[in-house]
Amino acid sequence: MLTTYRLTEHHTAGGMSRFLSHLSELQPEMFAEISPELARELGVKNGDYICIVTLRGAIEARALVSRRIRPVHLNGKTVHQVGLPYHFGTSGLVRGGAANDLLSISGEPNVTIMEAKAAACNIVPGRLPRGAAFEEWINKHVPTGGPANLHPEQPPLDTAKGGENPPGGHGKEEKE
Amino acid sequence: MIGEGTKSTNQRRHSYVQEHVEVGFFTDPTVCIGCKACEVACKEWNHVPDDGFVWSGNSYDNTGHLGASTWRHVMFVEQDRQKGNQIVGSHSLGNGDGEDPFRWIFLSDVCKHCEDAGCLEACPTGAIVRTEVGSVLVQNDVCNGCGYCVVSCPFGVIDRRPKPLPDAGGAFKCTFCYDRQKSGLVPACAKVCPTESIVFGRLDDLRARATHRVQELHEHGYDDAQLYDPRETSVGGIHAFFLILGEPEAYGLPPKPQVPTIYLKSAWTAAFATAIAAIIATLLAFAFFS
Repeated sequence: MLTTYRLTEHHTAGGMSRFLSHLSELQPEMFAEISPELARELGVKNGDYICIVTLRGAIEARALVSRRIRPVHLNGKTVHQVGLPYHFGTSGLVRGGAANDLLSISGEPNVTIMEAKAAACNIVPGRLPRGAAFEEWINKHVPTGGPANLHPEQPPLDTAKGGENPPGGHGKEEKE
Repeated sequence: MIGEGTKSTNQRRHSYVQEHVEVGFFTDPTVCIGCKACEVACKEWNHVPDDGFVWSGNSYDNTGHLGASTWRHVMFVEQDRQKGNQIVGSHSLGNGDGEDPFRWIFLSDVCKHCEDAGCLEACPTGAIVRTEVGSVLVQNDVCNGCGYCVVSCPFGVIDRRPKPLPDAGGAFKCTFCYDRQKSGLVPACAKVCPTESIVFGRLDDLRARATHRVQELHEHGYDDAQLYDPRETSVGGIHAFFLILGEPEAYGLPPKPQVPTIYLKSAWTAAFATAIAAIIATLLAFAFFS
């Protein structure tokens, strides 16, 4: 599970703070906080590059291994948490993967705000491939088994086709 | 301190410079939230340039250490030790009733403005002076960049600024916002500190507050809270002292800081004795092998 949060050094998606040197130098790169347990499972060390993949997209970040992030036990299953600051983007003095690329578009009807605090994700150690290699890569690593309809108001796919829900996939839908 | 609002010494105007009152900083990590506002305010007020965008991977500390372009540095210390009255139980992964012992401590480090300052004693140009409020000030228009102060600081605070940055070459460190204090203002870091983790005020007043705070923390289960205020060493007390949890080594603070000049006498005695011994040895060599 990934969650997103703010850092004190940056303001929202960093549109203002990533252009100021005194703030940028304090948090200069996108990172993903993971627990030592998850790091051991993935064979990742502190500072290594990891890729975070969801149904919506993929970004790369530096792994910040910390005991502050703890895996939780839910119904006998260990669920690992991944903490992502959402302050980074493609321009400014400091750049990095945008956590918002990973999130689904889902409206919360009561407060009319986007639900962007929890999503299922995969973590792949290494750098994110660019260009044509990206599509192949993301189809390989995208989480499967989740619901295929990404939007709560999207009509269920199986009623139209009369078949089963295809496994979730980012680039997969066009291929199949 | 906490909850004093506008009555706090952090917000009041003062005339300590005019009255020659000794002032200081008291930094309390138990209320620090790690927002780094002190670092940013310091750099903004004093026109300190940024010194590189390097991600350290060491918790949220991307500053690293104090230096020529870092006059305030917030340390982020992660320790596998019980924090205060944290309920520690069996492992958090199991069905335990508590958490693993863990604490994340923030401490804003700064120049200590020693009573007997190594940098001041080493400075050959007189660029480093003692101000009316007891702080140590580098006059950058006098500094010739010899770097003697850099090796003489027992805390590793002062440093020379490297080349691509503005005003490169000279030595820089915290000025205790002497310019602000002359106008009756509080140093920038203390002024912006939202939780008053950094308290500015009269030194005697702060020492009393600090002692009280340590007692209060002991009552609340912070058994290893202590003051870092080395008065019994040759540094002779510092104007920016800290409350710390645990040992000073965990914060990069020397447990027994010494001013290097106390070693002058023994060093010169040793050098003199060596010189005498060398002369005698030379004479003996000529006496026996001629």
